[in-house]
Amino acid sequence: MTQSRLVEVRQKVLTKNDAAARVLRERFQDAGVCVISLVSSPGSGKTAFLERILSRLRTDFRVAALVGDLATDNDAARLARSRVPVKQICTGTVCHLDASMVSSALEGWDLTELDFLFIENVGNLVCPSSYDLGERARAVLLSVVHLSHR
Amino acid sequence: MHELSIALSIIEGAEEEVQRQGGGRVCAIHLKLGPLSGVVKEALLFSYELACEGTLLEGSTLIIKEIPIRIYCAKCGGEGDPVSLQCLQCARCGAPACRVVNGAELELAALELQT
Repeated sequence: MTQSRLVEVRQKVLTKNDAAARVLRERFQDAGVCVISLVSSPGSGKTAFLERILSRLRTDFRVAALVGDLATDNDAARLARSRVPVKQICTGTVCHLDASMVSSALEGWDLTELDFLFIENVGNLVCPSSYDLGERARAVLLSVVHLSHR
Repeated sequence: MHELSIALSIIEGAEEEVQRQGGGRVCAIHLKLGPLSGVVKEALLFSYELACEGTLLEGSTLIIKEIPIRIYCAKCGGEGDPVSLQCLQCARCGAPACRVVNGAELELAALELQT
Protein backbone atom coordinates (compact mmCIF):
# COMPACT_ATOMS: atom_id res chain seq x y z
CA MET A 1 0.00 0.00 0.00
CA THR A 2 1.28 3.45 -0.81
CA GLN A 3 1.54 6.02 1.91
CA SER A 4 1.64 9.71 1.58
CA ARG A 5 3.81 11.87 3.81
CA LEU A 6 4.44 15.57 4.11
CA VAL A 7 8.02 16.71 3.61
CA GLU A 8 8.83 20.23 4.75
CA VAL A 9 11.07 22.09 2.32
CA ARG A 10 10.86 25.81 3.22
CA GLN A 11 12.92 26.98 0.32
CA LYS A 12 12.59 30.19 -1.66
CA VAL A 13 11.57 29.38 -5.22
CA LEU A 14 14.21 31.71 -6.65
CA THR A 15 16.95 30.29 -4.48
CA LYS A 16 19.03 29.27 -7.53
CA ASN A 17 18.94 32.77 -8.92
CA ASP A 18 19.80 34.20 -5.51
CA ALA A 19 22.83 31.89 -5.33
CA ALA A 20 23.98 32.82 -8.84
CA ALA A 21 23.54 36.50 -7.94
CA ARG A 22 25.68 36.08 -4.83
CA VAL A 23 28.48 34.61 -6.95
CA LEU A 24 28.22 37.55 -9.35
CA ARG A 25 28.21 40.08 -6.51
CA GLU A 26 31.44 38.58 -5.16
CA ARG A 27 33.02 38.64 -8.61
CA PHE A 28 32.08 42.29 -9.04
CA GLN A 29 33.48 43.17 -5.62
CA ASP A 30 36.73 41.30 -6.22
CA ALA A 31 37.17 43.00 -9.59
CA GLY A 32 36.39 46.41 -8.07
CA VAL A 33 33.64 47.22 -10.54
CA CYS A 34 30.52 49.12 -9.47
CA VAL A 35 27.47 47.52 -11.08
CA ILE A 36 24.22 49.42 -11.46
CA SER A 37 21.07 48.00 -13.02
CA LEU A 38 18.31 50.03 -14.59
CA VAL A 39 14.65 49.09 -14.61
CA SER A 40 11.58 50.90 -15.91
CA SER A 41 8.38 50.44 -17.86
CA PRO A 42 8.88 50.20 -21.63
CA GLY A 43 9.67 53.53 -23.24
CA SER A 44 10.59 55.42 -20.07
CA GLY A 45 14.06 56.28 -21.32
CA LYS A 46 16.51 53.67 -20.00
CA THR A 47 18.50 53.61 -23.23
CA ALA A 48 18.42 57.39 -23.63
CA PHE A 49 19.64 57.77 -20.05
CA LEU A 50 22.42 55.26 -20.63
CA GLU A 51 23.51 56.96 -23.85
CA ARG A 52 24.07 60.18 -21.91
CA ILE A 53 25.64 58.66 -18.85
CA LEU A 54 28.02 56.41 -20.81
CA SER A 55 29.21 59.33 -22.94
CA ARG A 56 29.79 61.48 -19.86
CA LEU A 57 31.50 58.86 -17.75
CA ARG A 58 33.77 57.46 -20.43
CA THR A 59 36.05 60.48 -20.34
CA ASP A 60 37.07 59.76 -16.72
CA PHE A 61 36.13 56.14 -16.08
CA ARG A 62 36.21 52.75 -17.74
CA VAL A 63 32.54 51.91 -18.39
CA ALA A 64 30.57 49.19 -20.14
CA ALA A 65 26.96 48.10 -20.50
CA LEU A 66 24.84 44.99 -20.87
CA VAL A 67 21.42 45.55 -22.38
CA GLY A 68 18.49 43.18 -22.13
CA ASP A 69 15.77 43.00 -24.72
CA LEU A 70 13.27 40.41 -25.88
CA ALA A 71 14.27 40.21 -29.51
CA THR A 72 16.31 42.98 -31.11
CA ASP A 73 19.79 44.42 -30.69
CA ASN A 74 18.62 47.96 -31.48
CA ASP A 75 19.54 49.19 -28.00
CA ALA A 76 23.06 47.79 -28.18
CA ALA A 77 23.52 49.38 -31.60
CA ARG A 78 22.38 52.72 -30.16
CA LEU A 79 24.66 52.45 -27.15
CA ALA A 80 27.66 51.31 -29.21
CA ARG A 81 27.72 54.86 -30.58
CA SER A 82 28.80 55.94 -27.08
CA ARG A 83 32.05 54.08 -27.93
CA VAL A 84 32.13 51.88 -24.85
CA PRO A 85 31.93 48.06 -24.74
CA VAL A 86 28.27 47.02 -25.05
CA LYS A 87 26.75 43.58 -25.21
CA GLN A 88 23.14 42.67 -25.97
CA ILE A 89 21.31 39.96 -24.05
CA CYS A 90 18.35 38.69 -26.08
CA THR A 91 15.96 37.02 -23.68
CA GLY A 92 13.71 35.53 -26.37
CA THR A 93 10.32 35.12 -24.74
CA VAL A 94 11.50 35.84 -21.20
CA CYS A 95 10.37 39.17 -19.78
CA HIS A 96 13.28 39.81 -17.41
CA LEU A 97 17.02 39.23 -16.97
CA ASP A 98 18.26 36.68 -14.44
CA ALA A 99 21.66 36.20 -12.85
CA SER A 100 22.67 33.33 -15.14
CA MET A 101 22.00 35.41 -18.27
CA VAL A 102 24.23 38.17 -16.90
CA SER A 103 26.89 35.66 -16.04
CA SER A 104 26.94 34.17 -19.58
CA ALA A 105 26.94 37.61 -21.17
CA LEU A 106 30.05 38.54 -19.17
CA GLU A 107 32.10 35.72 -20.68
CA GLY A 108 35.16 37.11 -22.39
CA TRP A 109 35.08 40.38 -20.45
CA ASP A 110 37.81 41.23 -17.97
CA LEU A 111 35.90 42.89 -15.13
CA THR A 112 39.08 44.24 -13.54
CA GLU A 113 39.36 46.56 -16.53
CA LEU A 114 36.08 48.28 -15.64
CA ASP A 115 35.07 50.92 -13.10
CA PHE A 116 31.35 50.91 -13.86
CA LEU A 117 29.09 48.34 -15.48
CA PHE A 118 25.49 49.22 -16.29
CA ILE A 119 22.86 46.54 -16.82
CA GLU A 120 19.73 47.65 -18.65
CA ASN A 121 16.89 45.27 -17.86
CA VAL A 122 13.98 44.43 -20.17
CA GLY A 123 11.38 47.21 -20.12
CA ASN A 124 9.03 45.85 -17.47
CA LEU A 125 8.39 46.82 -13.85
CA VAL A 126 6.91 43.51 -12.72
CA CYS A 127 9.20 40.52 -13.21
CA PRO A 128 12.64 42.22 -13.05
CA SER A 129 11.91 43.18 -9.44
CA SER A 130 12.02 39.50 -8.39
CA TYR A 131 15.45 38.71 -9.83
CA ASP A 132 18.66 39.73 -8.11
CA LEU A 133 21.44 40.30 -10.67
CA GLY A 134 24.27 40.82 -8.19
CA GLU A 135 24.21 44.57 -8.77
CA ARG A 136 25.35 47.09 -6.13
CA ALA A 137 22.37 49.37 -6.79
CA ARG A 138 19.18 49.23 -8.81
CA ALA A 139 17.87 52.43 -10.33
CA VAL A 140 14.22 52.79 -11.34
CA LEU A 141 13.40 55.28 -14.07
CA LEU A 142 9.94 56.79 -14.02
CA SER A 143 8.43 58.73 -16.87
CA VAL A 144 6.45 61.67 -15.52
CA VAL A 145 4.33 61.71 -18.67
CA HIS A 146 3.23 58.19 -17.83
CA LEU A 147 2.80 58.94 -14.14
CA SER A 148 0.10 61.55 -14.54
CA HIS A 149 -2.59 58.93 -14.98
CA ARG A 150 -1.12 56.10 -12.91
CA MET B 1 3.92 36.97 -17.26
CA HIS B 2 6.90 35.09 -15.83
CA GLU B 3 4.84 32.47 -14.04
CA LEU B 4 5.97 29.72 -16.41
CA SER B 5 9.62 30.23 -15.46
CA ILE B 6 8.55 30.39 -11.80
CA ALA B 7 6.65 27.10 -12.24
CA LEU B 8 9.77 25.51 -13.75
CA SER B 9 11.84 26.69 -10.77
CA ILE B 10 9.29 25.19 -8.36
CA ILE B 11 9.44 21.87 -10.20
CA GLU B 12 13.24 21.91 -10.25
CA GLY B 13 13.35 22.58 -6.50
CA ALA B 14 10.80 19.85 -5.82
CA GLU B 15 12.62 17.29 -7.97
CA GLU B 16 15.82 17.94 -6.06
CA GLU B 17 13.99 17.44 -2.78
CA VAL B 18 12.49 14.15 -4.01
CA GLN B 19 16.00 12.92 -4.82
CA ARG B 20 17.21 13.94 -1.37
CA GLN B 21 14.30 11.96 0.08
CA GLY B 22 15.29 8.90 -1.92
CA GLY B 23 12.57 9.05 -4.58
CA GLY B 24 8.80 8.75 -4.62
CA ARG B 25 5.81 10.30 -6.33
CA VAL B 26 4.79 13.85 -5.53
CA CYS B 27 1.02 14.20 -5.14
CA ALA B 28 1.01 17.82 -4.01
CA ILE B 29 3.19 20.85 -3.54
CA HIS B 30 2.48 23.48 -0.92
CA LEU B 31 3.54 26.97 -1.86
CA LYS B 32 3.44 30.20 0.12
CA LEU B 33 2.64 33.21 -2.01
CA GLY B 34 2.49 36.87 -1.02
CA PRO B 35 0.92 39.62 -3.14
CA LEU B 36 4.25 41.49 -3.25
CA SER B 37 6.02 38.57 -4.95
CA GLY B 38 4.85 39.82 -8.34
CA VAL B 39 3.42 36.38 -9.13
CA VAL B 40 -0.23 35.93 -10.07
CA LYS B 41 -1.86 32.89 -8.50
CA GLU B 42 -4.16 32.02 -11.43
CA ALA B 43 -1.36 32.36 -13.99
CA LEU B 44 0.91 30.21 -11.84
CA LEU B 45 -1.72 27.46 -11.48
CA PHE B 46 -2.21 27.49 -15.24
CA SER B 47 1.53 27.34 -15.95
CA TYR B 48 2.15 24.69 -13.33
CA GLU B 49 0.07 22.05 -15.07
CA LEU B 50 1.87 22.66 -18.35
CA ALA B 51 5.30 22.74 -16.75
CA CYS B 52 4.73 19.44 -14.92
CA GLU B 53 4.21 17.44 -18.09
CA GLY B 54 6.89 14.79 -18.51
CA THR B 55 8.45 15.45 -15.10
CA LEU B 56 8.35 13.63 -11.76
CA LEU B 57 5.56 15.96 -10.78
CA GLU B 58 3.14 15.18 -13.59
CA GLY B 59 -0.36 14.89 -12.15
CA SER B 60 0.50 16.62 -8.90
CA THR B 61 -1.54 19.43 -7.39
CA LEU B 62 -0.20 22.86 -6.58
CA ILE B 63 -1.72 24.10 -3.32
CA ILE B 64 -1.16 27.81 -2.84
CA LYS B 65 -1.43 29.46 0.54
CA GLU B 66 -1.85 33.18 0.15
CA ILE B 67 0.03 35.24 2.72
CA PRO B 68 -1.42 38.68 3.47
CA ILE B 69 0.80 41.76 3.68
CA ARG B 70 1.91 42.76 7.17
CA ILE B 71 4.04 45.78 7.89
CA TYR B 72 6.05 47.05 10.83
CA CYS B 73 5.12 50.53 11.99
CA ALA B 74 7.67 52.34 14.15
CA LYS B 75 5.11 54.89 15.30
CA CYS B 76 2.73 52.23 16.65
CA GLY B 77 5.70 50.10 17.70
CA GLY B 78 4.32 46.90 16.21
CA GLU B 79 3.09 44.93 13.26
CA GLY B 80 -0.09 45.81 11.46
CA ASP B 81 -1.98 45.89 8.18
CA PRO B 82 -1.18 48.39 5.44
CA VAL B 83 -3.83 50.67 3.94
CA SER B 84 -3.70 48.69 0.69
CA LEU B 85 -1.36 46.86 -1.65
CA GLN B 86 -0.55 50.12 -3.40
CA CYS B 87 -0.35 52.19 -0.22
CA LEU B 88 2.09 50.71 2.28
CA GLN B 89 1.13 53.00 5.14
CA CYS B 90 -0.02 51.88 8.57
CA ALA B 91 -3.79 51.38 8.54
CA ARG B 92 -3.96 52.53 12.19
CA CYS B 93 -1.96 55.78 12.18
CA GLY B 94 -1.12 56.45 8.52
CA ALA B 95 2.67 56.49 9.01
CA PRO B 96 4.72 55.00 6.16
CA ALA B 97 5.69 51.38 6.76
CA CYS B 98 9.25 50.91 8.06
CA ARG B 99 9.45 47.48 6.55
CA VAL B 100 7.34 44.73 5.09
CA VAL B 101 7.16 41.78 7.47
CA ASN B 102 5.12 39.42 5.29
CA GLY B 103 3.73 39.49 1.80
CA ALA B 104 6.73 39.01 -0.48
CA GLU B 105 6.81 35.21 -0.06
CA LEU B 106 7.43 32.91 -2.96
CA GLU B 107 8.38 29.83 -1.06
CA LEU B 108 8.21 26.10 -1.56
CA ALA B 109 6.85 25.14 1.86
CA ALA B 110 6.34 21.36 1.63
CA LEU B 111 5.82 18.33 -0.60
CA GLU B 112 3.33 15.51 -0.21
CA LEU B 113 5.28 12.46 -1.15
CA GLN B 114 4.00 8.93 -1.86
CA THR B 115 6.53 6.19 -1.27
